[in-house]
Amino acid sequence: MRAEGLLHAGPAGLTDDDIPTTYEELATVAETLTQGDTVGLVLGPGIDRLGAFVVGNGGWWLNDDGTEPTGTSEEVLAALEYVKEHMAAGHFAYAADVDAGWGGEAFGTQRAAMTMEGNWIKGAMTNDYPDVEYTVAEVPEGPAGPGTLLFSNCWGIAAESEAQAQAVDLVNFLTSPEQQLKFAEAFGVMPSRQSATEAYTEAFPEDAPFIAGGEYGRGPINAPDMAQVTADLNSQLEGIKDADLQQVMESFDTNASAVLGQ
Amino acid sequence: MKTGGLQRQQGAGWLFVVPAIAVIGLFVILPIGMALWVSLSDWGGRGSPFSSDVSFVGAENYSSLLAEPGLARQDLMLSFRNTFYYVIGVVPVQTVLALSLAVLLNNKFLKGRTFFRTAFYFPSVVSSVAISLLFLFLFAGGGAINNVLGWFGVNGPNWFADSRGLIHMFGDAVGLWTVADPPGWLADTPVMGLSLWQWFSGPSVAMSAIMLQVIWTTAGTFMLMFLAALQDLPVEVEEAAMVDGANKWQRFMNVTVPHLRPAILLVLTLGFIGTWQVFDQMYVMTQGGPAKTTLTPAYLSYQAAFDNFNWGEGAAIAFILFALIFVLTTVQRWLLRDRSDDTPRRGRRRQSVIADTDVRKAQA
Repeated sequence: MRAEGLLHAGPAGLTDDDIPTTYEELATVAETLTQGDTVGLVLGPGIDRLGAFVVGNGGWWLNDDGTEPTGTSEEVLAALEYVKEHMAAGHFAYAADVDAGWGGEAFGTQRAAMTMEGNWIKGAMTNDYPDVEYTVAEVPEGPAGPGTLLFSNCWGIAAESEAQAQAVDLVNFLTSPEQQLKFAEAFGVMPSRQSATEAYTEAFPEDAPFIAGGEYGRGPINAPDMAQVTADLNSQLEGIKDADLQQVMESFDTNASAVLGQ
Repeated sequence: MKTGGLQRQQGAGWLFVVPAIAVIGLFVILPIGMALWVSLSDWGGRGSPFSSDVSFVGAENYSSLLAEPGLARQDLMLSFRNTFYYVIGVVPVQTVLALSLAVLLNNKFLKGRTFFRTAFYFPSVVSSVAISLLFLFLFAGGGAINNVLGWFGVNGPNWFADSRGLIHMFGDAVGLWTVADPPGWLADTPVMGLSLWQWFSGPSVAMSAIMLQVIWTTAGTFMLMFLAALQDLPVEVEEAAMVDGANKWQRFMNVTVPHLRPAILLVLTLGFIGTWQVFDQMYVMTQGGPAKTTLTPAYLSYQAAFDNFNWGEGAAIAFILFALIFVLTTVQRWLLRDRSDDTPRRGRRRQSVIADTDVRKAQA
């Protein structure tokens, strides 16, 4: 499991008190930090980052059963409107706008003063940008409370495999708490089992903000065939600055209903 | 005796073509037949497409792509729109550029001809993946192109992240409309799943950068074809035109271009087919982004099959693309057909007169 946190590289003069804890503060801090080539907050494009704001606004792309889309709900539109407003103002930007492939690269090359990524960014920072100092904070709280996203890495077992039973045994073994902690040490992934949480926080205290996200974060949309629908939404959100959000989300709702209704 | 010899000859003939038929049948006809079956089935890519788990769905894949409103049709139409602008931009420019380069290099008095010939042809020999990566760096937001533009005070766009259409931007610049608030009659009139506003976007900035790259790469290949055709141009004809008092431009338009007609037709046909099938650049550079403005039918077909495991849809897109290219190429050949039967061209008539006299001389 991996949760997103807010990475913050404060220039001289900013203290821990300046770490934003609400959306309004996030916008103000981003505005202050936007200087020269550096943009206040750089996000990866698409719902895997913007979704955190939707959760913070108390909404989600689909209803709780995942049977119907809720793209045109007030919460979703408010979240996107917030991002659109600050992108248009120039103190939020997508990674591609600052010549980076993802938030981590923008952060490492210091074109971003803040970014929102999961704990996988730690490896990239140590390996590629060891000189950049930063702090990790939880994603600021939205109007409806804290909100972030959770991602998981999955084990796949081949349907046609002759050794399926053994493969299942192997996966069961690899997902045991002890093995998950070994993975955490080796690759920096957070354990997906709650029973391993305590041991993990003890071993990696600096990851506390990421672990905290596990409490209130939301997982990805995993309904079958939704991949193309979310890909289309992502591609429309690339142009969020000029987008008619109502129309974008209406088309998401139409496409999602077609897939979910099957 | 005579018929027996003919039969023997026929038998030998068949014997000679059997290897070719076997190879073409195995590697071309059979796969096309399989793809046609896949396009009519719901095969998910697992196991054999002919196994009993795979069922026949008729024209379902085709109708979801062409007839039913939805994501599949929207994406296909977007890819057609993108590729249409791409073809319109690339084919004329690459043909004219290739022809101009060939005429320049055909000048016997040009110094360093071999060097230029190699230099112009070089991009065609280099792997398109390598060139694509190079262009990614050149056109990066802080890359070489934008730095050069900066010398002239131009603030270059972030090329491969810019999904704005050129026609949209042009209209915005001259005050026809504003991109953020497009005119209602354009935005609210849907045609085949896209609004008129989307249809008339023009190529995006990202697509334009790819177009520049492709023109630069392919002009060399086609230059070589023109060069070969130019070297066939009899010097006497040009000299005769000179004697007639034709200036350089007239000689080019009335002697060289008519002579190159078959070569131009070849280059245009190959250009149309090649550009409609464009894939490498999108695969390496943009994956169809930003905002699906570099999505092309060939890439969409790949995506449907290999990413979404919707092999039937992928194969159906390939056949639709084939039909489109077939129709367009036929139309293009018909438009550019040789009309010499109705109105014989001067050059041709002169050549046939020369041929006639040669024959008579030989007979005498």
